[in-house]
Amino acid sequence: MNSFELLLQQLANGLTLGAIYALIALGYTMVYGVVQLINFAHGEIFIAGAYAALTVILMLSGLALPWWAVLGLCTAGAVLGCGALGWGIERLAYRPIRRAPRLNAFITAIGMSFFLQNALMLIFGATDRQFPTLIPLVRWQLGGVTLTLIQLVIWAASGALMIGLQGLVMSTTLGKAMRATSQDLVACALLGIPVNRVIAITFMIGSMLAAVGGLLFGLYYNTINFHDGYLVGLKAFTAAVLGGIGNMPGAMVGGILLGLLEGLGAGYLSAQWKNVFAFAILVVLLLFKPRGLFGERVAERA
Amino acid sequence: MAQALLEVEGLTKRFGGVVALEDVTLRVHQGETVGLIGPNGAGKTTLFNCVTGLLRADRGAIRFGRRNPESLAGLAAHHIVQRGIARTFQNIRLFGSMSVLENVVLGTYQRTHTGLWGAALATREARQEQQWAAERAMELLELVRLQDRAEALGASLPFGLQRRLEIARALASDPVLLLLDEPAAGLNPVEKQALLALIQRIKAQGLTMVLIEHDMHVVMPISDRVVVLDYGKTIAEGSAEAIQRDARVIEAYLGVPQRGADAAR
Ligand SMILES: Nc1ncnc2c1ncn2[C@@H]1O[C@H](COP(=O)(O)OP(=O)(O)OP(=O)(O)O)[C@@H](O)[C@H]1O
Ligand SMILES: [Mg+2]
Repeated sequence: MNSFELLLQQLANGLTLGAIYALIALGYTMVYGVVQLINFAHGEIFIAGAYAALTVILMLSGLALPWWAVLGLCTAGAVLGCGALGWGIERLAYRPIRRAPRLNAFITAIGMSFFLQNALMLIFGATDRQFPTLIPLVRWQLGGVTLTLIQLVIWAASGALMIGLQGLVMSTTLGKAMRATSQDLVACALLGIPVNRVIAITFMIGSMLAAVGGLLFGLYYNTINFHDGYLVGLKAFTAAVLGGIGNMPGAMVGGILLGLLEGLGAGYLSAQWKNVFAFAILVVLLLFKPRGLFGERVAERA
Repeated sequence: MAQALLEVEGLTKRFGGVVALEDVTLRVHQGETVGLIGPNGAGKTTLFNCVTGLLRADRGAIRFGRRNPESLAGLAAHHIVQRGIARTFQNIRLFGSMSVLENVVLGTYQRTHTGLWGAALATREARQEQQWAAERAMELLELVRLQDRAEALGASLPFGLQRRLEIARALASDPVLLLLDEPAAGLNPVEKQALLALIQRIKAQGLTMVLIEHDMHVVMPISDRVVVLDYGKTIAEGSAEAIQRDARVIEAYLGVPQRGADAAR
């Protein structure tokens, strides 16, 4: 493998990771957009998605279904499960304190994260769980670069979801209501828009994207642990901040960028230092662009 | 006297030690335009906030409806809009990073039926409704003479046009009663005349209005009746001419040198 091929290989790996980060980062940024809250429990929702998918796969294991049917069903299970989880968290934990000072919401979010971490540990155990491969191990050799079917699936799935989300947000009434809510919740309510429902749906959509991220993560790494929620969640949050929190295209770009940087860091520096590498980049960027790459938005609320 | 469309009775609202409204009573009849005036801090905006469900009054009743007046107490803001009350804001609250057209389209929300999920799934009905909403919004933009700016961002409009856009957005919910909170504040004399003409056009369509305004040149020609608030109390009520002659009003309000509110904007 020559050095150019190594570069391409690391970029391909990084893009895969970045696509997953981007899906999760979108949830952080969407929720922040409508309620100005960092939902620290979002990383746990992500890994809960992986566990939900695993649970469905294990339940179906005796039925000898084709792999694509299992994939479809476990996606549905993860998406519905996490959608319900996101809805429940908003309804039970965040809505009652929406008018309370910021610090209360902050602490509630951290508490929710700990609660879910422990709940997941109790339900699914503290040790690594094997995640079935599901998708056939097809690989292509392009020059010195290896691509796998699972990588293509991850790129295609996250690409399609991001395009779909962009369409939803830009051109449907729901999307308009979401954007309007993020700008002025009160004015929105006074146009007859049920802002509580808009916020709940935003949480649900963000959680559903995280669920897909969790499933893809499991398929890619073949092992999951409840701790991954914290670490991957933190990285996705970093990606959202990198792109400018509250800015959806920013979250997508931030996720991909972080994945690529990590891929390069793992390839050229040291795989063990890749986490440090990602956060160092963030710190440096924020020194020069405190609102992230695309964060032109300042709180405009009266 | 005929049944009132909006009936506010004995309304009281305190903020800590400040009594913003004290035992306020106000009746607005179908088709009427009521001018609501009073010095700074008199409680005018607070009255709108109570009627539209942004604030809960401490005491008193608010009833609304043509045939069977219904109490608005405890209703959420978005349900009050559905009953037919729309408003604008003293400090403009547009969706600045959305287009002019989108702002007005959002105003039609409560007239649509597909709901948020239907909209998300882009059902046939949802798409038809979106089409309808866009057409309706364009009509309203024509009414406020903003049809050429439909694609501009809300925040990019000059101040005077933002006020018009806010009126169009409020009209998009097809209200029975329109509450305008100082729509002429910060406008220059030419813009004020244009706004006056716009309000006349809206009035000609039979809409019932309550208009908060400091500028008598705006209030007098369009108000069928003027109500004066001072320190949270109704101190006078009557025809525009009578109000201008009322000694208490002159003392509380007209006698005061023109306030800096307009100049400040
Ligand atoms: N949310 C609030 N919290 C605390 N005090 C408030 C609040 N809203 C209004 N007030 C107070 O209530 C009083 C009435 O205010 P309000 O805004 O209703 O007056 P206004 O008649 O609209 O005045 P202006 O002509 O300046 O708009 C003022 O003393 C104001 O400071
Ligand atoms: Mg006011």
